[in-house]
Amino acid sequence: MKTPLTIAPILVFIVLIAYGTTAYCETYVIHGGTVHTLGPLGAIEGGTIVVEDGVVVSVGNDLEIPQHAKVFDASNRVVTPGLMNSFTHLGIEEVSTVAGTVDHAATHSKDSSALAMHWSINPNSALIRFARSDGLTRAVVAPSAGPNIFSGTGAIIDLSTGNDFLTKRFAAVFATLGEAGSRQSGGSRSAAWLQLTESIEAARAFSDSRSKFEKQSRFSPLLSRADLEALERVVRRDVPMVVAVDRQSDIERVIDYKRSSKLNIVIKGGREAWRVADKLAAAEIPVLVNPMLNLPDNFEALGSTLENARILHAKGVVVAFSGSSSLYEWPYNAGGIGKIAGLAVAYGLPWEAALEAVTIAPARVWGIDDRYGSIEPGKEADLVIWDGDPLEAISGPVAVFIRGEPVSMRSRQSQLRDKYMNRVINQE
Amino acid sequence: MRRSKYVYAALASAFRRTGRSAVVELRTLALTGLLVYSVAGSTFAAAREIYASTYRPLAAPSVLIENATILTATGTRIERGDVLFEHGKLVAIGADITAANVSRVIDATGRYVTPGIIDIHSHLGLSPVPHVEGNSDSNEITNPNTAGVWAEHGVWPQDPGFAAALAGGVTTLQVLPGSANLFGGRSVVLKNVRSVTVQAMKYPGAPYGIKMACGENPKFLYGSERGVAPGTRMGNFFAYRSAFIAAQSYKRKHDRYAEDENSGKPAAEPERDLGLDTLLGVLNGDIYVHVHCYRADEMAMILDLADEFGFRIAAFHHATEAYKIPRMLARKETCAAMWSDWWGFKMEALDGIRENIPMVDAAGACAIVHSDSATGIQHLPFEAARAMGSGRRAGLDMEPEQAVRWLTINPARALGIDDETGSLEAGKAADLVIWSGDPFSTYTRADEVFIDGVPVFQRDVTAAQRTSDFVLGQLPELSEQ
Repeated sequence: MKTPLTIAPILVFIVLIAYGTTAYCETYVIHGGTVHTLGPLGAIEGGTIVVEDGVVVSVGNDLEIPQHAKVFDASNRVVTPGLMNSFTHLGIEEVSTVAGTVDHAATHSKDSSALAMHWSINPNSALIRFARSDGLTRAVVAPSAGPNIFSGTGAIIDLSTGNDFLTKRFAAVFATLGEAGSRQSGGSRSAAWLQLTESIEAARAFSDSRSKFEKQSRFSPLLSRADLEALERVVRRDVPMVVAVDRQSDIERVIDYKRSSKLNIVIKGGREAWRVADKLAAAEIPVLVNPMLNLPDNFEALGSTLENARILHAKGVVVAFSGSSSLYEWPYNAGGIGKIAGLAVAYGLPWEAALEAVTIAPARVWGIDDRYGSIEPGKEADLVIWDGDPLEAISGPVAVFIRGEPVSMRSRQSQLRDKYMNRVINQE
Repeated sequence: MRRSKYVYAALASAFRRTGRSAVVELRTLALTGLLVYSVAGSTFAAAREIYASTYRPLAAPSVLIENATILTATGTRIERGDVLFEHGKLVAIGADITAANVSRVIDATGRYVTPGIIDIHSHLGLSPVPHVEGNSDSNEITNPNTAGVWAEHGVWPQDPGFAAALAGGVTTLQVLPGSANLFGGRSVVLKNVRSVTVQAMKYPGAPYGIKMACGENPKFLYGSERGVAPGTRMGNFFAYRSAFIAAQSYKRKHDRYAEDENSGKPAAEPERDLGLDTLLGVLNGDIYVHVHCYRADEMAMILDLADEFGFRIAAFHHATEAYKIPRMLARKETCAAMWSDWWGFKMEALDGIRENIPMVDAAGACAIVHSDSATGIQHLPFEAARAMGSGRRAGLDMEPEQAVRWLTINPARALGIDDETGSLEAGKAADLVIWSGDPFSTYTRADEVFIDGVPVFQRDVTAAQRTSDFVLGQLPELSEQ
């Protein structure tokens, strides 16, 4: 029995190295590219970024390169922060039609806000490795609309696939109003609003006098205790409530509701948000926009336009991009968020604003801008070296760093490509 | 009866020109097996007169576009080139073209010209926006074999998606029934022109297509959802083969009838079956076969099915695994119509890769970028650019003059309209787009679109005017913003 005891500390050490994603030991320098810091320094030509222990320690021109550093040459390349997609099912949906791999919609559950996505996330998902090879380093992992107007609680992850991948366990409570909310609540927008406002009031009562509440009744008529606890984070303003609405009138009711409730509210979708951009700016409500969707897909989206982001930005609304290159929030192209951001540029959004909408803007919306979203000393080093303009469809990453570590660009998809490439090259 | 008389008259006239008796000629041909095809082919030529295209291009101005970068889709790129077209046809493409009396000269310095974009896979008009039950007409999910339904009978020309696609440079599109059924029905090739009727959008003379579907959709929607056949991929093939065996028998009856009638024997016209009519068109090579199929092994099986019954597959659609069998596709002259980045949403789509399109192209097969989406159809060059970039990073450099073929001449070929459109060559239709810059840049937009030489879209002018009836009075104005 003595031998195993003596090797135990060594084993622990090995395990720590294997899993020790916080035990960074390398210093990295990225040198020579056009660095879009998204911070006070703006864009730097031929900039240098020094990364130590997972964070950026310095960024600028003519910096001294530490002797022991591993240097990445980014000459003629573009460097940006890693991108963020503000609404994905990464890690909670592997194959859409295989129910066992899909956890974002608990269609048969009575619970709602309490359905916390962080329980379900699989960091080994092949889709996460694929998405990060597209330059995506952070993602909101959000529930989809279920049977209740409250879909659940979303999380924020980094795409390192390490065992401390959660940036935020409880990032936001997601709710749906508009046509979906009407369906979920009995067939009218009025029913949806009643359910939402009553639920928030119940959560306030619960939060104000927890002990009294518990003595009175174990469950509120509307919500389970777990749901009330989830909504308590909203009423305490610990997390935002993300409300999916598209029609102008629905958006205006949300603006009114924010004024009266004082909640931290984020709008998702907002197809007609451009029509009330001034009011949204005044109410300080950010909007999560899919920049690709411009058709009147339903009667609440008649005003859909590719110019939504441009107008919102021009009026001072904070815009973050979300979704994928389709109507569906498919996880397998979540990494393409930078590409669809480019489409908003084609329709008038300033280039810098489009890049912000996939980096520093979502960082602020989700309250993680102290650690992510720009290339600044002290922030975690999520960095991408691109072979061209990151918002151009034809461009792609050549290297991706997440929290200071270069990550593998290999994915199941790249292995399939490599396996069959000889059939193309050798004409087998 | 009028139809068969028409057929007979056409044949008789054809053979009269050869100076030989039609009957003798027919008998001779019958031995080679060609007769049956030509007779039934004529039957279809006659049948196509119904629901006929009423498309007539407006009077087209003569136009000279100068100083453009031209991607001709014949494999070349012309820098600072000119394009001349009149009466709806391309007259000349090259450098320093001069023309007297053109009605319009367009300076395209810094801009690009390509053929009009062709989307081989669209459901516009069949599943239009808004997505509401009352307008949902893409899948006749009442029988796994609905070869007898025709897409054109369900297309709603007021779908706002048509105008949006035009702003993306799409001049021609194939509207297909959905993929719920093994045989979804006939497709229709449309010109993307504003019209109250479908007939006035129909591409004159374009062959019909048939939409078939492989794999998960039919077996799931029938076997799993409804408890009827097919419930497996085996069942899918049993049904395909049974249908084509019935079509062969149908064909024999119709051929015999035509032969008897031609030789003056009394004969009763065989019962007509709309589904078998379509499959007969497939057997005769008149109807192009478009198969929704993801997996390489399944595509290979469909190619064998085509061999078994003697027809050709024009294109596999979606074809997420085409990169596994590019040489087979090249040998069979079957195109693969693909997305740049849709995959993974079901088991049969799990092996989709971003390099699919460039890998298929590099192996010498016919690669097409398709949309299958009212959103994607607006951004097909953007989709192509993503595939170009993925290819480039994997060592397959795809130049714009090659990639443009994925969007133009290759789909034209798979639709059987490549003699008329799909490339910029003298004599072809003046279907073309003037882009604000490199069409493969995300920031580029279509400035002007021509169909048969007629300017059908002008950015900023048309975008505001060209609206479907549906959006009238309920589309908010952007102008004040």
